[in-house]
Amino acid sequence: MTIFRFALLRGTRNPLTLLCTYILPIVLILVRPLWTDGGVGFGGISGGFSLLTIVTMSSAYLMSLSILTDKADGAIIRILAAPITMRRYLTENLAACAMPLLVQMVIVSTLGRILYSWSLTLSIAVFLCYTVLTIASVTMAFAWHCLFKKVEGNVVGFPLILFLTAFLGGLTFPVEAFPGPLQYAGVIFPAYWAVRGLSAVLETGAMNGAFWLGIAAMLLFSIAYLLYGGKRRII
Amino acid sequence: MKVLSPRLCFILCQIAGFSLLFALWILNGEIAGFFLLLLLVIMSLLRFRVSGTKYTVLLDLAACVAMVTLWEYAPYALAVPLFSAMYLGIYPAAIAVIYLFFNFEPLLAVTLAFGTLCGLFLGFWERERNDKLTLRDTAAGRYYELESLQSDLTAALAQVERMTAVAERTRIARDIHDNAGHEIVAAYISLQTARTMLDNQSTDGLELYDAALERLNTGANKIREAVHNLSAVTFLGVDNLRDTCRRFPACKVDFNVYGDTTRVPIYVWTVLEACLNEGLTNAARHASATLVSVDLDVTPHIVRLCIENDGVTKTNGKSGNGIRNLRHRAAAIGGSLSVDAGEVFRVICVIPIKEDVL
Repeated sequence: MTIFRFALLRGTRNPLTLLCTYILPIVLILVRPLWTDGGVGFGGISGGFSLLTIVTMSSAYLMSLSILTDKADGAIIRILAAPITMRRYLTENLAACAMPLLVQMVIVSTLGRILYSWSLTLSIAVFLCYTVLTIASVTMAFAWHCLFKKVEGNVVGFPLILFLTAFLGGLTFPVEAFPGPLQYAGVIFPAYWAVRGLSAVLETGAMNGAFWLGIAAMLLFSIAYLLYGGKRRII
Repeated sequence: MKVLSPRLCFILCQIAGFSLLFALWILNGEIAGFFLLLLLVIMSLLRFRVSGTKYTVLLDLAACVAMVTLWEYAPYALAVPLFSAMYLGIYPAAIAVIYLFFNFEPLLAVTLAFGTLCGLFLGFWERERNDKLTLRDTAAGRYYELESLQSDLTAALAQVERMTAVAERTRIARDIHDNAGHEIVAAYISLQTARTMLDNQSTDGLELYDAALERLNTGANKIREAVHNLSAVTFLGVDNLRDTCRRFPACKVDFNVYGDTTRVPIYVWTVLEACLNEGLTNAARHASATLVSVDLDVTPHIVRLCIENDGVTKTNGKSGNGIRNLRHRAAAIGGSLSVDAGEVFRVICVIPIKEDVL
């Protein structure tokens, strides 16, 4: 678990990562107006969920920057020259990226149930949805890192992806408000499916088919992103 | 710059196919259609990343057929796995077009035919390209093997020559020690004894003196015999070069030697002789030369053989087999061979002299 431990430690070196991963989710759940019925609503869900989605995606990107750093400065070649398999390197790195966020999701779900009297179904749905979204976001960030050879293009391009996700994925406006085909443009982002699943649970109060479809879509996206990345791409 | 390869075309075509399907899906936004698309993308990535999974394309076809009732454009999605199957050489997958017999639509037929033909074309291109690359790699591999073998053999030859020289030196030392050495030492002792006896006016001294002379005579004869046995019956080293030049029938050969040729090891002479023979043969066969000048320079560290002829100097820029082989032989003992086709045609061979093998 050496790689896992050091990946976790490297993630805490950047103040922005610390803020996004360890502080913002807790702060968000404590801001009552974002979660109550009268709060500011984005998309089909309350503002708190929208902001938590954006924070989750940003944290996943920031936490996985260590993979990009390893790739850019050639450390990955030296690491793989050691008796460490590519699978182990990726598994432990991605687990280290996802672990802090998963712990945050447990805290958020628990605090939500305590502070805002969420039903057990909603708490579990929020935990499940954001757990899978975290996995999808980490794998998406990993695939994004594999796409670029230069760090600059990667860092400049990700805010654009984040903006498109927020805009087309239904985090800022309900997708039904978009004209015709633009309503479906956001399906290529996992966040769209998270919003869709959560909306279904908030509307019906149960984890229905739409919710599970959203979970399935995010898991499939994770597989696709993992397959896209990999040894040949990362080196 | 990345060369346009069949694989790159295949990837680009797949991306185009998925984009078109996505555009088609946006028309009605059926959830089942999206999941089918996502599945097709994942399976394509799987085949792209993991070797030995090409037959999973049949699963793609089955998924498309299964989705026909859930998404009205699913038959069009068949074009993508059909394209992949044809590219990967899984021709039985073409049976999927049987769907057209049950539900014929001209646009669908054109789409499937287009996908199939594109896949076939790219597949044939890929296989032909791979065959040619394999042939090229095999030929190159054999060429490098031969070059390596030739280099090894030349190095081994030089090694054997060095070992032979050392063995011969040992044999000469043993012969002199065992034969002449004993006789001369015995004669020396006899002469010392005779000197003492002659001082004492002993008559035995003369007999001993005669015996010592006899022993010295025998020793001298054995040394003469050993030298006679060692003398070469053919010319060696610089004498061989001079003899080759003298006997060259095509034109006059001007042979000049500078420096101490005894410093040149025996294994270097073999390469120099081969160079001279090649240079003279070229002068006779290709250059129609009237005068060939051969200079042999021996310095403390290198030996340089320069062969010039005043004949035709035009070359096509390529070295013949003889020159190429000589280059390898010279390189094997640390030397070099160069050809200069300026105002005169010149072949220069430079070989370093190593002190430890003298």
